[in-house]
Amino acid sequence: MSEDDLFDSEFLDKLRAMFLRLRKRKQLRRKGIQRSPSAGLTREFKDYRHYVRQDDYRSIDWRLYARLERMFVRLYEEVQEFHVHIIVDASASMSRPFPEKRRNALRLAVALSYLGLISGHRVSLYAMRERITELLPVQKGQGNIQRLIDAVRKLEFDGATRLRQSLASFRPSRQRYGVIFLLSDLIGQNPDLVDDALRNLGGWPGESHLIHIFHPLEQSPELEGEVELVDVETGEGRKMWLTRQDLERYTESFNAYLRVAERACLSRQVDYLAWRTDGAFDEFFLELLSRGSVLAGKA
Amino acid sequence: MQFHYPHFWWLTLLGIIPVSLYFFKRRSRTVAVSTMVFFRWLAQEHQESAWLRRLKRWISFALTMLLFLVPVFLLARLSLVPFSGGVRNLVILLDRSASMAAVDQDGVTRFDAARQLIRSRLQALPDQVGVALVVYDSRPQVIEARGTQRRALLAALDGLRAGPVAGNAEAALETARTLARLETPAEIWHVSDQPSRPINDEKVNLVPLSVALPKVSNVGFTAFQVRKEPMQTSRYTAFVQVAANRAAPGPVEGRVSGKLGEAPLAPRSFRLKPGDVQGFELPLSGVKGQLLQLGLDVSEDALELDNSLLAALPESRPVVAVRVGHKEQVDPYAHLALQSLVEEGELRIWSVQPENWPVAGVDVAIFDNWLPEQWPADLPVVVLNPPGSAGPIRARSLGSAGLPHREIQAVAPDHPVLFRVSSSRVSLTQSCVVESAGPLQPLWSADGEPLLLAGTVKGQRLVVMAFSPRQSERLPMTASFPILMGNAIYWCAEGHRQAESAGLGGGRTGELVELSGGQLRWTALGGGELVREVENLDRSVAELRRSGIWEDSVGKSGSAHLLSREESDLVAFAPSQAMVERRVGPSLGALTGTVLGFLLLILVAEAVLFHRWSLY
Repeated sequence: MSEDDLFDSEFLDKLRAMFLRLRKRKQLRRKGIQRSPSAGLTREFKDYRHYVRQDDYRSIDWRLYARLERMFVRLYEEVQEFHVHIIVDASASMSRPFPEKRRNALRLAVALSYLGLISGHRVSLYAMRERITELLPVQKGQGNIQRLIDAVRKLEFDGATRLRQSLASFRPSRQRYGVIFLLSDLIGQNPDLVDDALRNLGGWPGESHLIHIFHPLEQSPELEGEVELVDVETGEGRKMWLTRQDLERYTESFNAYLRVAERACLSRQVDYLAWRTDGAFDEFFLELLSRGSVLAGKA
Repeated sequence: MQFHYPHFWWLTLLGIIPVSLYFFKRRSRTVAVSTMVFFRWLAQEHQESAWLRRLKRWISFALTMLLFLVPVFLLARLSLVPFSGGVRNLVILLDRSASMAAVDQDGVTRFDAARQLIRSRLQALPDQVGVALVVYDSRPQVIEARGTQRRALLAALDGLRAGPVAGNAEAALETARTLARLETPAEIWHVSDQPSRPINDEKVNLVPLSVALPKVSNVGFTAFQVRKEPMQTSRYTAFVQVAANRAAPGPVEGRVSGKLGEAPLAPRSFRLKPGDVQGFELPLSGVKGQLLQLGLDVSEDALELDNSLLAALPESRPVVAVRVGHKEQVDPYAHLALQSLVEEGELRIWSVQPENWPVAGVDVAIFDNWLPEQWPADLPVVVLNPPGSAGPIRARSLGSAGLPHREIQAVAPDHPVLFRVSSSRVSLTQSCVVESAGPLQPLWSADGEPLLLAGTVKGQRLVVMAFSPRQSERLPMTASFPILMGNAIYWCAEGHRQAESAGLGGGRTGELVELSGGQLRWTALGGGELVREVENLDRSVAELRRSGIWEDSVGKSGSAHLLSREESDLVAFAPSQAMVERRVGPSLGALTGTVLGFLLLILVAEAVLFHRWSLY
């Protein structure tokens, strides 16, 4: 897939249209469930109204009183400013053998970044492999979207994921309190450790979202017969004789893995959303934002 | 094992296809996966071991090869029958005697089993082999001459059934052998429940095919006769003999019951060990024409045909005897005894002088102290006190005094001549010495010398009394002497009056009788009821092939019954026969359904392995 296919004009137009739809949805106008500390709080003038008794006299606009000889009180609008962290799993399993996972992950990262920038938030972009590394410095302002897109385009997907170590190493400071999006297939070295690995998400400062991306053929592979399997991350090879019953057992274990991940997130108040790559992007994106994100609330 | 159409074996080359596919599929494809952790877990938890997968793979390959090979087997007509290679002529010799009507536990007769066996074996036979069908009971009959039309032969086979006639395998085998030798090399399939004797013929191979039951029990009538009681009016005695087969697994209990007209007879119970024979005398009181029905009531009896008898009481025409002797030498006690018999009305005695001999129209001749120079060739004779030798008699007179014996020994007490004759306390005076060699059997003897002899000479019965009643002390004055005289006359007359004897005692099925008119009317027992049928004849000689009473258009009548010790003595499947049968084995023709079912099973197994379990 070429890079132009990732963020073509059609995709960007669709992104803008979605933001317009978001503004009209009342439920998305509510504040997020998390309160922000005062460090990010600003006050902007909104309107005047007549002074009544019991109003704070310090809020009377004396200049206006001098001109009109009537007392008015200044009204201010409270504006919150968040830090949006977007972590993209950049291991080889996100790109091969199903490149749809990479495309969807990157599109979602760009969409979330765009939403954050256009809402006046600060946006940080990270890549997760054996550890989580920052792709580019904190961005703010709508004009930086192209810089984010360029950084995403250059992102290489290789290496193996060490889920537990990576998530444990990510510790955003209190000054960067905000919303954290983790975009990953959660495929690590050992499926039994996923619960332990996801424990770190609960300790992150702010609202955490885990978007679990997987391909339909990862859930239900069509590999009956004798096959030689090669792991895309480690290069490990294994000859197997797969029957239909084996594949049914595989699917059962994969679904169980999804349930374990969801349960681990819910128990730690982390929003979990599984995303099959054959699902429509815009529907999924709206679904993601409708689940009570503060990011959506300010859009 | 051989193949009738081996050229179909070229089709086995099609097996190259599954072999190629088998080796082609051995290469596994390489697939890049991102979820190796799950496949690794699957391999640890649920994947079968390598040897089991290899075994499944081999089974799958074997099933695929069978799918190719079994149709080739069917097309090539695999035969497990050891049919001699190059045989061009086959004679099927089928036993249809009474024993083939024996049924197994499912009610299948041996004849039906034989028919099924022939049918299945014929299916495995090459089409070019000519087949003839010969059936036999008392006589062989060629049903189908040699031909290759199996359908006509099978249709003829379906129309046959076993009947109440004794079998004669010797004559049938000879007929089959004659047919087989018309075109050699040939084979004879002798299908019977009886053991088959081998034949010495290099060009004809005899294959005995036994359809005998492995375990069989049977009791049947093996002898039957109705006699008029001497000196008694309207009194008869029925003699019946029942026998158990030697192969019976244990003793058999049963009873003989019946009725005369509508009057039931007192039943007689019996218990027979395997191979035992027992006789019964049933006194009857009836008139001419009354039907006598006798039946056997035995549990676990395999053969029904020998369990019933049906006969009509005959008209008893007086026996006519002529007494020949010089008037002055006639024995007065013998005269008195004969006179008492005449008074009963069952016997007529004519007395003539020797110069008037021979006399026509008599049944028995009584030579009293006289012998003719030319012995009668067509007349039974009772000789009293022979004066010398003549005809079959070799005797020498002991003079006028004779030789008295205080007591005698009964050598053959069961002989009909001694029926109800007391042999004890009898004193006799021997009047002549008679040579007992030859056909004459001594019945009484004293000090080693025969006093009473009986036998059959050139088809005519002969009784010789080598004593003088006049000079004997006790015998002439007892009741036994008239009985002895009467028995002797009746026994002699019985052989002479063949036509009446058929009515009295009953004939055997399979015998030939001369008939007049174009019809033969049968009265037989069927399901306990009397059944009457008419058989149209196109010849004057008929074979009695049914059991019951027959009568022709002019009133000639008689009865016919199986009465065969050989047929009632059902044999079990002997080990030697079993070996023959195992060697013969089933034919693939009979297994066609099984083979097709096996093929279907393979297809199902293949479907399950490939589509259900995804076995490659």
